[in-house]
Amino acid sequence: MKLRGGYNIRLAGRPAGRIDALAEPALLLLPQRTRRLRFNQVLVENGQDVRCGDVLAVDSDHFGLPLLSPRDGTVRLRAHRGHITLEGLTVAPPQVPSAEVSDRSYDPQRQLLVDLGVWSYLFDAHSAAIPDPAQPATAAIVATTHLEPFAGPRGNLQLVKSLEDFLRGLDLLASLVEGTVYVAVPRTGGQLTARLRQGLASKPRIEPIAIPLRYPMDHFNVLARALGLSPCRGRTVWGLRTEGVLAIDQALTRRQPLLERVVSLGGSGVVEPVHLRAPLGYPLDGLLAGRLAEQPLRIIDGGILNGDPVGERQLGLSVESTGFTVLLEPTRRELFGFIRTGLDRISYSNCFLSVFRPRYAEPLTTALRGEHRPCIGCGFCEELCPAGIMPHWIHKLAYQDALEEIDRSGSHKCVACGLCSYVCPSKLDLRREILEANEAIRRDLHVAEPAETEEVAG
Amino acid sequence: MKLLETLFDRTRPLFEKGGRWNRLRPLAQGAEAFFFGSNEQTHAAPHARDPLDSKRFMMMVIIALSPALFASIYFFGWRVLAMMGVSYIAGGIVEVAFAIIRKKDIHEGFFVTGFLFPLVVPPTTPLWIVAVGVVFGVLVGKEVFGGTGRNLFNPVLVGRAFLAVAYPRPLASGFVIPGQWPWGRLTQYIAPTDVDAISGATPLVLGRQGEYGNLIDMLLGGISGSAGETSALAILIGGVFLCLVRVANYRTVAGILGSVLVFSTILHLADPARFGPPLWHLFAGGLFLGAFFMATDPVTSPATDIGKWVYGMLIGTLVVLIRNFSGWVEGVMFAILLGNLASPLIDEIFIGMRIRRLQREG
Repeated sequence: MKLRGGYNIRLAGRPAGRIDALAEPALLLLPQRTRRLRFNQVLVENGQDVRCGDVLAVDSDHFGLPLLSPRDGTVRLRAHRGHITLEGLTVAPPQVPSAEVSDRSYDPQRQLLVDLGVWSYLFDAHSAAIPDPAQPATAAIVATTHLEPFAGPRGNLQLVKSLEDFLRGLDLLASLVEGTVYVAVPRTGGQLTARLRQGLASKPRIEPIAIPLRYPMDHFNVLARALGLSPCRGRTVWGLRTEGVLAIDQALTRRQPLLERVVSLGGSGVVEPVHLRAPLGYPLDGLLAGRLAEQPLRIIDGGILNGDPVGERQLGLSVESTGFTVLLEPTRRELFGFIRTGLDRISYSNCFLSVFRPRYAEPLTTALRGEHRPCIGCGFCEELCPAGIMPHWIHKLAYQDALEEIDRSGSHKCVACGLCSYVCPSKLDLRREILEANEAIRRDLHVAEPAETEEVAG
Repeated sequence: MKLLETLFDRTRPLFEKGGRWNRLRPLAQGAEAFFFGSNEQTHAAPHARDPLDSKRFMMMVIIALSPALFASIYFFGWRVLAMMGVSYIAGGIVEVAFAIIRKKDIHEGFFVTGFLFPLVVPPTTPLWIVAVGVVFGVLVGKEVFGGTGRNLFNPVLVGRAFLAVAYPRPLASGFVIPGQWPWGRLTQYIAPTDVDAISGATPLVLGRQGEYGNLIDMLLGGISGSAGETSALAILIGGVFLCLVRVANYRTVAGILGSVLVFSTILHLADPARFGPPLWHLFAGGLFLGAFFMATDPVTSPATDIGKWVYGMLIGTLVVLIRNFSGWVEGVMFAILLGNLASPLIDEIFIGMRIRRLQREG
């Protein structure tokens, strides 16, 4: 195990260690687009009454993963663009899909995970895509924590009450994969991690691995590489988080579909940072009401390093929501910022006096905090890079449009953790540059290759 | 402060595209950036950014250089400040002119160049020569390559090397005997015409004649030399600070100082009569100033860690070679310029190795 790079951003507004329940909503807004899924095939009609657990839509591009109705209610289509609206809600026990109805494309357990909507908890560890249920999994990596602030619920919060369920979920997971289930446990001396290790000790195909409590050491791709699991055609390595293992346990032992999620709500713009348990489609307005500071804010679906701003596109809690981070927008400009002592700001470099301050969190804003400048070669991006690539070098090559060179420099290893952009004193958008270069490489270089070989063969 | 902000807000449209003074936009932008932080926001992930910007980065170098400046004023009098003023004005004009021609922002890299330049010339260099040197350095050393971040050579040293070649007399004879305890030359302003009475040879010149000065004097600053290089201690304080805040990379510094120490020890042991003692080499001349403040310029040094070691050792070795086996008594300036020249090659080698390793890892 070799893990390099990484850095913790100490953002103010860490969600408190409790999960609050929310008031029953008047309506649900189920987004048809999530990060990875598009529920493009709607199976219900406008005005149709549905029962809790009914399939509302499926993603035909992703193995027919279903969007399930979290409540009994009446469907309204086209009321909100890109969303399926559910009105006149009543809470009822979910309908469990009967085994006969589904056209058993996959092995029964996997089919159940697909039918119950739990499959969207799974990631391909290398590409972060939805893994193919038909493909065998050589191994699974379980990250017990979210290390990006505050992209998702804290692992310990979920584990403290349901450690038994988690351990049973791991056994079930092990039955679904061919190889080992690796459980990444932070290298901390907590009581919970000790209990977790103890629980794992007796399990044959489940192996705990200790990771430093440093972002992005919980990233599936970083872990897969450290474990020496390389991508391989026709086989996948799964990546999932604590909530995924718990969902698998719920699905396979109690046949419980994915109808609600626990999300974290944190960041400098949140008055009372907390975790929330809410049914899918819970309106974000209601979710955030009364919890945000009264000033311009940016609401981010996910964490500050990887998340997307919540725009018009998302009105309710989605199948893939893990957390919302709210950042303040800067309100005033600072006089002579470059000669201030800097006791109130934390930097990766030691250029501010905050190095003498005991650990504290910074109320970060969406400010760029500097001007765009040419690269000065400070090397911070390279130090931090968990993939061991050289963002500054790729930046230089991107400036020359040297795609082949970029490809050779290992740009495909980028895990898009965003630390290089975060730390760059010249405020270069290194993360975006590398991702765009990779996109161009896929489009221009790699697509051309099979065509050439075909020509040679013909 | 509010007033100033309003002033900038009011006048900004004049400098924007279509405004009356659009061509002077870099000047207005530079002035605004001097007072206020950027008002830009992030557009996509990552949504927040580290507080370090290039203004702060450059400011750290100036803070780290201030002990050397204070030492210089103490030992050589107030003229150093006049030289600095000339350096800032002359170099600043070039920088602003290029920003306006290129329609780009004024970059803060110049603040370091303007501060550093008067510290590497003798304390009584005529002011017009200072101006010529800094203009040459900024123009040829930096702007023709495309400005800060794209230069191959350290602009300060390009200007200094130009002066050494173009005006050898004033540069070789401008050294003065430093002031004595307790007041130094704090009350004096030494014009170039006064030099003859108090001119003093630098330790490196004396070294050629077999006179090795007192190490304590060399450490504290009781020796003649360029304006900023006299007190090794003041440079050391600033230099260590710069390494601790991670603006300068310790690998380059350790590479230079280590190789000078090792190489000169070997020479000294081989022939003590001909080659000076290693610690004398370490404290004499501009080695400390060069090692901490000029060789560490990230733009002109290699990018990889191992490359920085190699680059440091190359410079250190060249310093000892030039000092001992050439007509020049001081070799730091040329050694760093040669190091700058080698740095793309060093990068090529070690980044190439790094990329091959990445490919093997798959």
